Amino acid sequence: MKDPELIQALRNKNQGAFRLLVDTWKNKVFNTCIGVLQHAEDAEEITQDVFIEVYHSVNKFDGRSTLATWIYRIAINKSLDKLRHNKSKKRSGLVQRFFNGSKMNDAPDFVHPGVEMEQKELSVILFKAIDNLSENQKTAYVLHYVEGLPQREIAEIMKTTIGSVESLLMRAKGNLRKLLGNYYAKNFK
Amino acid sequence: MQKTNNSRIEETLTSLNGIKRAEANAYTFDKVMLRLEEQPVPAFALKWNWIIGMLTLIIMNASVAVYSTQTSTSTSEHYYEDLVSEIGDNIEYSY
Repeated sequence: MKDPELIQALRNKNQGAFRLLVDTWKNKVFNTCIGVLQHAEDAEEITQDVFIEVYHSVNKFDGRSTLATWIYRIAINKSLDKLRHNKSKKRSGLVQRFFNGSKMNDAPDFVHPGVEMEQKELSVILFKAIDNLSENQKTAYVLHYVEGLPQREIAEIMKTTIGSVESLLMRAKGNLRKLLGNYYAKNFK
Repeated sequence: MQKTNNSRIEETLTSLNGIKRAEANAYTFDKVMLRLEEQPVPAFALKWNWIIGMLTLIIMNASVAVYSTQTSTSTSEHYYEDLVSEIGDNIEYSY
């Protein structure tokens, strides 16, 4: 089924079309969410939120972007919202721990399920560094290196130019080098 | 040592090479449908809110109308009784 037919069927609340959409897109959406959130349960919840949003908002979809761009955009926005929410919760927890005098626990190691076995250990370190990037850099990096999207598509999703995406990726790599440099300097003297 | 750390950094940066797409839960569609059924669509909820609101108004109007009819009937009944007893008193006086 082509995108315009699928969109029309979704507007008519056709359950078969919605199932087709979810089955076609669930892995792409989940992979994007897990890349940003670095938490499988949160990514699963946000993946469901994305499809609920698609179901409710398909009438508002104006077709100026492709269906793919629209769905990726929803996935990124919802993941970043969740991340902000988690971080504000973490901050209030930090204040509580400060007043209670207990030690802060580091976030648990995140192992992306699609990483090759021999790369797991290094990828855990890389994801910790990715978590420290700015939202824009993180979005571009995850869409490119985790979801494997070309810069042109990332530019459409982020409503920017290919040049900006290229620059975001360069700066992300530069920052990751710095962060990893600090990490290795501390841990491998 | 610096060179070793640099090579570690480069190795770490390439650790996502060949990464496969993470797979979503096989029951994602069922879970989404369940959540959609649990949370009514806003338009649907709005429509029902309107219907419930209108029904409440109709019932309230009807009950007010019935109450006022009953009240006015009972008032007129009392008035009639009062009038009869007043006439009765007047008749007594005329004796």
